[in-house]
Amino acid sequence: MHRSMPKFLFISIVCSIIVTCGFCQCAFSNETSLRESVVKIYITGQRPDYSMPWQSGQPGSGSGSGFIIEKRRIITNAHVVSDVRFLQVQKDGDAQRYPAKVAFIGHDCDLAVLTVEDETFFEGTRPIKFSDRLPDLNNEVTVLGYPTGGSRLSLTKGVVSRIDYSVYSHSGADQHLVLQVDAAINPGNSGGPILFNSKVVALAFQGLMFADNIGYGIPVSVIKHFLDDIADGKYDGYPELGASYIETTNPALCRDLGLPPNKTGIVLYYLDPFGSATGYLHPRDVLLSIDGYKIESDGTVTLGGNNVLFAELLERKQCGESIVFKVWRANSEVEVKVPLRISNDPFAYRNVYDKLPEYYIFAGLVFSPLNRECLRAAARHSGENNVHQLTYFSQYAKIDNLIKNSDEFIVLIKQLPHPVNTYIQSFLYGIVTEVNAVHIRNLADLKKAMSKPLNGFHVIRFAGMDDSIILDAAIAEKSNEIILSRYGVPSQEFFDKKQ
Amino acid sequence: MKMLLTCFVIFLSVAQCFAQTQAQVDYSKNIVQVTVTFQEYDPFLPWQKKNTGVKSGYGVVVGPYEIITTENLVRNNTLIELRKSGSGEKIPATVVLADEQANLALIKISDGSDLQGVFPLQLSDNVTRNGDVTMLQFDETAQIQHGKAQVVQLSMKPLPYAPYPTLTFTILTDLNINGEGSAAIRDGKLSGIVMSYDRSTRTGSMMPAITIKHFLADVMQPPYKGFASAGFVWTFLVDPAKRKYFNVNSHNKGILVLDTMPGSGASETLQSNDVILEWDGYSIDNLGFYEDPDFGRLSFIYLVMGRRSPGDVIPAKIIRNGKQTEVTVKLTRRIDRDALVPENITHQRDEYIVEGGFIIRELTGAYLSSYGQDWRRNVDPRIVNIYLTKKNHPDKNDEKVLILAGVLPNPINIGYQQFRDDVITKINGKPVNNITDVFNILKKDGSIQRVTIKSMDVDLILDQTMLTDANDELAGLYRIPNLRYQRPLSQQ
Repeated sequence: MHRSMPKFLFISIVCSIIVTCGFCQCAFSNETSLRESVVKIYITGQRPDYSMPWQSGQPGSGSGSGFIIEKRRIITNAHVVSDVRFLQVQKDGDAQRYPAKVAFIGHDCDLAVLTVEDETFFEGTRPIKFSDRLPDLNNEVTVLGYPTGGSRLSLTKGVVSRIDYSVYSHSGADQHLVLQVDAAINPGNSGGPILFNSKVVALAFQGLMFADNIGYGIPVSVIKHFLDDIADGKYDGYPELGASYIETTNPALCRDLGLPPNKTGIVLYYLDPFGSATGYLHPRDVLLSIDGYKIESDGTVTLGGNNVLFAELLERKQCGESIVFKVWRANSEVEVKVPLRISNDPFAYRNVYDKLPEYYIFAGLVFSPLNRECLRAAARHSGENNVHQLTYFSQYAKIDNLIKNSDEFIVLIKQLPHPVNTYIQSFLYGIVTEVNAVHIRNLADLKKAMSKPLNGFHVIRFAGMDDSIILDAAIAEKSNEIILSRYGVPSQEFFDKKQ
Repeated sequence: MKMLLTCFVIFLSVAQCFAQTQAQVDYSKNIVQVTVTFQEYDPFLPWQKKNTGVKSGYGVVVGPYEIITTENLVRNNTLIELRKSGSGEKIPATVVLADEQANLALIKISDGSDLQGVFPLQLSDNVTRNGDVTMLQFDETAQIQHGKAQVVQLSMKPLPYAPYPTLTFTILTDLNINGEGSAAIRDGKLSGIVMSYDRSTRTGSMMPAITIKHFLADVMQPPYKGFASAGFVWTFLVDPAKRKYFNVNSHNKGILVLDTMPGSGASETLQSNDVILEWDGYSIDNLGFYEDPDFGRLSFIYLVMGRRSPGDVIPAKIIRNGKQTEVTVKLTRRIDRDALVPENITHQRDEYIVEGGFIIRELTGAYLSSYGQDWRRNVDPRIVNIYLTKKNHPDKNDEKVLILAGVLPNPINIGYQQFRDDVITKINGKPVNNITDVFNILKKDGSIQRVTIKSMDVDLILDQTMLTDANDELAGLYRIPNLRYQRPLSQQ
């Protein structure tokens, strides 16, 4: 349902500029001093081609907005500058474009910080200040940026309509606080400031399809979390608690858990092995409070007079900090301190950026670890059983313990046709479990197993399939070079060393 | 009943005399229009039926009171009415026996009614792959309508709307076929009945009379045995690397056994990775075809379904672990309910339990497809995956997939109302394999106290002090006449 502002504007959307003009006259005087600090970002980006992971897709150009903050930095959206090949920034009324660099990027919160080497760029600008607090509903806010419909700075106005949790569509998996405004936010606005009393309260980032006057901004609390995170020179991201819970609104459930009637909380039913809470919290633990805030039976806490989800308190934490829960466990109350660590979960299928896909090709069979792009490509073949299995593995990997023998899921994503692999169609998008009687945990395992055929054959087995691929080892060995050169594949494999 | 069947046999032979050989004969006495009012159970609300529908097709008279038609036409019928050509009178009929795996149903005129002036049509043995047939159906005024059709193919194909393979004529016709079961005549005899027709391509699928004969012969000698199933899953063996790997040297011969169905005869004598070279004396090629002495090249499934019956023991020449050997395979009838996830294409009444608003039932193919065309995308991927990868292969006998299909909101189930299509592993702390286990637990415990969902370490608890009132309230509010339905033992 959510859509981020397209990074590359191939099509100019003709939008109504007449409506906003009326407001501009009176409003601009207040915000005009900030206009120098709102910059336009020109980008050429290029995504890898996940269906042919050895090469990249078409480069595309586009533009977005950003603004200057302290320490001569520019802040913008991650989605504006992801997969960047060439990047320039430009101030309003300045003919010159300056080359810029991405210094930090946080895909989970859709934020990025840029630097410009040429110091003259910052002359005559001053950093825009962040507000200390979130605005209230109905506060009038101003949106600055360079949206579609013209090339110069644009200003729109509206009120804060809602403050809520929502999915950040850039990663497609993370939920954080969002600020909803009814000011027009259009493609190209992405990364521009949303101002209240001349201070930034949010950064414009996504809209909602099939709805009117709904624009979303990343609130100042999330922006500050990002800036604090990168203060030490690297971006760690949000810590993940990794605890699944249900409400304890049912009195029979509370009695079964032995929870006294005067206590409320949420009950955990599953702990993610990659989350911070694993080993500290356990299934059937009832979380009574978080950092001193009492958790209600529906999972909310009272914060500044508002009822918000308890996760809001977790949002404010950085990796390396810890969080304290009061827990009802085995009929008594205990205090549990959970150290929050960097989440490194290979089974969280977020959108992937700024990374080249790993692959290994053998006998024209292209193997790659399961990722979101692979799922997306597979979804176009929705009639095939293997594709539905991928969906199941991606959603139930951890909770159904499908991961117990895997570091990642290796998928046969493509066939480069050659007589050696003529009969493998039905295995496409299958998940490899075993090669030559060796269990496959990761792509490196697969490569290793392929070097040891069994009695002159390679036998590849797949999850949920009774049939196997069988290759004649001698023929397969000879075919490798020919296939790679015929299909223009520069390298048989790519393994990301950093991972 | 015995009397009736005897008459029936006689009549079939008498019918020979009536056999019409001329092309211009009047067939109006051989076919009847069959109008069926039907009503399916609602898989989401298994205690109630969906709205009624009416469909109409044809039946071919095969006995004094007996008519043959497709099972699909009479499925879930609440009323069957027959109409003769040129008559407005509607005569009620009932189903004698319907087999959804064969898509055939024998119906008979209800006791006390009569269908005078109709004659049985003789069934043809001719199963030629080509040639013309005459199609028969009624026009709007119930006058008989003739049309030409060309037989273009004879093959084993899955039934329309069901996964069961059957011997099928593909026909191309100029007549706009207006109902299932319409008859095709060749040389004055019934050549087949239409199972499905596609207006846009003007092609239809037709069941040959030889299959109908097989069915009728079976019905006449109770108990009904049904059509046999091979009891194993197989695949082509064309890939040269695979042939070499399994040590298959004979040219173009052999199919690969992937899995055997639990409970089948095949599971006792066949293994996965066996290569079947010959079946029942016929050589099987690497795509699973054999040369039928009467019909030509045909899928070997016909050797199982068409030429044999359940209970027959079939010799097979196989390669196992690289060595040629011989085995015998006992054919069985595959009962839908043996599967881990039964199809229930006939929408038989599902067993269910509604307790504290929890709707508990077993997963079926019909339940999944009730989500509409896009069910593979829209239904929870866990149960979709179970259906797509292992529906025929329960790990244990009688294992089914028990699900919490949904929750009817009521104060007793506050906090649980988001659960939908989740797999249940335990009831009252006891492991359950199927809904019968749940009924047995209920017999002992009286009520459901706790439900354990797969991969969830917290049980859903029902407040027993509220349960009776909640059940009464739910039954009243949601108009549930029975909160539990267990199929009578005779039907299990």
